[in-house]
Amino acid sequence: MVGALPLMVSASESRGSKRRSAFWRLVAATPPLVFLGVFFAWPVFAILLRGLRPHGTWNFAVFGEVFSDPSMRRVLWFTLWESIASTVLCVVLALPAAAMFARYRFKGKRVLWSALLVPFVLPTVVVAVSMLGVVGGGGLIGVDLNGTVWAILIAHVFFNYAVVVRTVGATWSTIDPRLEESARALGAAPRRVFVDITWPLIRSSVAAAASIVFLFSFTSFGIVLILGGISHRTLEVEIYDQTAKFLHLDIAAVLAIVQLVVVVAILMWFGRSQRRRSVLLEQRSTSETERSAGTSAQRWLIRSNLLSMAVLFGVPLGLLVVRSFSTPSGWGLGFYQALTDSRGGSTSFVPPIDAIGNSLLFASIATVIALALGLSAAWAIVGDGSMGSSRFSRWTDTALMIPLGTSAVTVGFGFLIVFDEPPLNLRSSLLLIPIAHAIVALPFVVRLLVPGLRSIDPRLREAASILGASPRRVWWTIDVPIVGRALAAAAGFAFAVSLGEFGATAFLARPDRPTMPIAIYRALGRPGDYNFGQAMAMSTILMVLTVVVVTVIDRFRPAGVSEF
Amino acid sequence: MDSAFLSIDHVSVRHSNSTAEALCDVSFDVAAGEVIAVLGSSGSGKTTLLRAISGLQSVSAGNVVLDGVDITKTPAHLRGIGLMFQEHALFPHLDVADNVSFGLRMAKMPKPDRSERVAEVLELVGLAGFGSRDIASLSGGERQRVALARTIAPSPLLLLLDEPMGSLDRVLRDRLVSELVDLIDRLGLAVVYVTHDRSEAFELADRIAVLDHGQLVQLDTPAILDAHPATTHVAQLLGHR
Repeated sequence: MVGALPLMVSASESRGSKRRSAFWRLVAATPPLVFLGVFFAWPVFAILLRGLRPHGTWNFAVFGEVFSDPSMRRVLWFTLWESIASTVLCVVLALPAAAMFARYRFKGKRVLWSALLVPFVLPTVVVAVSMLGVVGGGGLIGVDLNGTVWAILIAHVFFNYAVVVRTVGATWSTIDPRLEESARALGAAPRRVFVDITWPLIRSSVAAAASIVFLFSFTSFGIVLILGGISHRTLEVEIYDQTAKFLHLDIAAVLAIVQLVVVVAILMWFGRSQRRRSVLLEQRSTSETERSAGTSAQRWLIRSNLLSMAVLFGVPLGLLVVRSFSTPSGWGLGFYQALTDSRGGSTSFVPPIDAIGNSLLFASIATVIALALGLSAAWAIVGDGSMGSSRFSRWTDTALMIPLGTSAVTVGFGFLIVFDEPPLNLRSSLLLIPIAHAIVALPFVVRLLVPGLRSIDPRLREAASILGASPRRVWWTIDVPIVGRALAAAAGFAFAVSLGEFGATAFLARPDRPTMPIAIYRALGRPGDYNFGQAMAMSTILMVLTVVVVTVIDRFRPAGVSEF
Repeated sequence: MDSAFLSIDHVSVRHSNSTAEALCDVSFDVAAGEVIAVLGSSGSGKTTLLRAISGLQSVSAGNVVLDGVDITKTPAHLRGIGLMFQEHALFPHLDVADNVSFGLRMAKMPKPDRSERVAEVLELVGLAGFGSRDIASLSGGERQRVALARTIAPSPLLLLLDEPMGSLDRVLRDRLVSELVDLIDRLGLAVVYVTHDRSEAFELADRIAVLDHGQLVQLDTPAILDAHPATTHVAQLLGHR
């Protein structure tokens, strides 16, 4: 009791003010939760109803139909094994890089750590197009992997590599290397040290990263749609086709339900692995745990990792840029000029260049929505920092994370069902796409803002209060400036997510208002080098835009938030 | 007492998540210009006492009267009391000058007067010319001085110091304590100074209050306290055998 007192002092307030603070937290939590309710829970609920009560009566016949259809079973099976394979491949390739970042000092480490974010936030369509450049028939390696599962797996690794490296690397770097060194001194061979000491300590972060990779691969849409051809289809692609091509909404709903069940199961497992992670040993700061590579084996580890990263990321993206300038009539800006071309054969065709303006507009609106709701939610979760983590804040936190695991296609499909008819007909509203993007971006925004707010020492607020600042001025002079950096980073993230969002937008974009990813996809769908070149030019522009945004994020990233 | 500048009147504090009282029926007066040191081991309620006087902690019973005005229900930001925190709590996003002028800004002092006052106070604590420095670039002793400057800049009626030397090494601490004695003399402020270090208490204080488990066990001048400790606990705190 004696020792605990200084902590309790800051945790205490009179009962009345505690109730007041709880009230305001509830008020702050309301807008984001209502938003999620209307634009996420309701559409998902509508999908459930559509699948389970197709014509106003409970009817599970469609489930039977789906599960007995061999082509559907193939889709289910492929989705499952493709995600497992992607996850395993990604973890195996990324673990050595996580070790390198966690343990060794080398030139350009900080820059590389930030640069890893780029593939993670690159639009799926851009990655798919750049993979086409590498593995397609005329591609670099001479073998046509297009339409094979390898193209998909490589693209998934490309995307999720950073998830594993950054999640595991961040945990790994906090582990005291002297634990490993003392095991060595006690006679353990390097492999034993890894198995007996290191692995048990990083295991839960590997599990966390792996479950995210599995989730992203399981709900992968743009990659599989573009690289999978006709033989490789995931649930997401099937849902899209059943809706958009065949208008079988019942079947699509059943598939969406199946996917939802798997996603929720994975999320629960993820939650458990996260909770286990929080009982970790004493953490060390990076400066204590990293050292320069001493032995030749260590130098080889660094070199081979850098090389594999260069191949994995540099080759596809480099090739994308190069090929976007390489027109049939030699080097030049031909493909870029073609973007302004309005000849497309149909009346609804608009010059692809318009998509840039659409994307920037939608991304701006989505960012504003996501930031306003995210700030409100983060404040509700953190409170004034005096109460620690209550059940209320954990619950709000979890509710806001759910969209992270749900596929964008589900969101788009749900919007299509729900907002197409009264009471809320938003089908023709320009807001529908930014709202969907905000739903997808919100978990990231909250994840960035919460640590920013938590990092404010409650004594700073007290000091300001003692110096005469009213509660409102405390918020304005202390909270806002300190959290401002996190806010800027969150804005960048939301913007990047919106720029690249494809799954939901595919359902919602009107023919005359495509976003950049949609325009790229449409160009791919038209035959000929000329259209493929346009897709590459547009992808290059989108990539550059995303890189600019990510650079901004990284400049403003609050210290101590290292995983995303 | 009529001459009391600050009057702590039967003050109790109970934390909502604890059954024991952090402060139990504490009463004492501080005269204008008087320096009271509050001595006690950790967990004795010293910090709680300062927080109750400053308004960061609401009291469950009793009254706090400052200069004839009952401020028990006044919110912290309207009390006009200076409090210097144990770990200083300097605003990391503001430079030295902006930290020091924060209270002046809150008091809506015009800008030219503000910078004049900041320069004056920084000079007083021996940090003239440090205004544009980043907080992160300061040494421990410099931070301590900035915190002190920030606290006295708005000319508070009463100065509360919560283990201000807590994180400093011995040599620096001795020097700063004698500087602080000097400064307090010059300002003529009433001071409540919380510490667990008896030498600091003896050097600074007109009277010393000893807290134990939330109760005031003795309040006397250093000489009387040294000669006649009320309990064995007090004697132990003073280093007697």
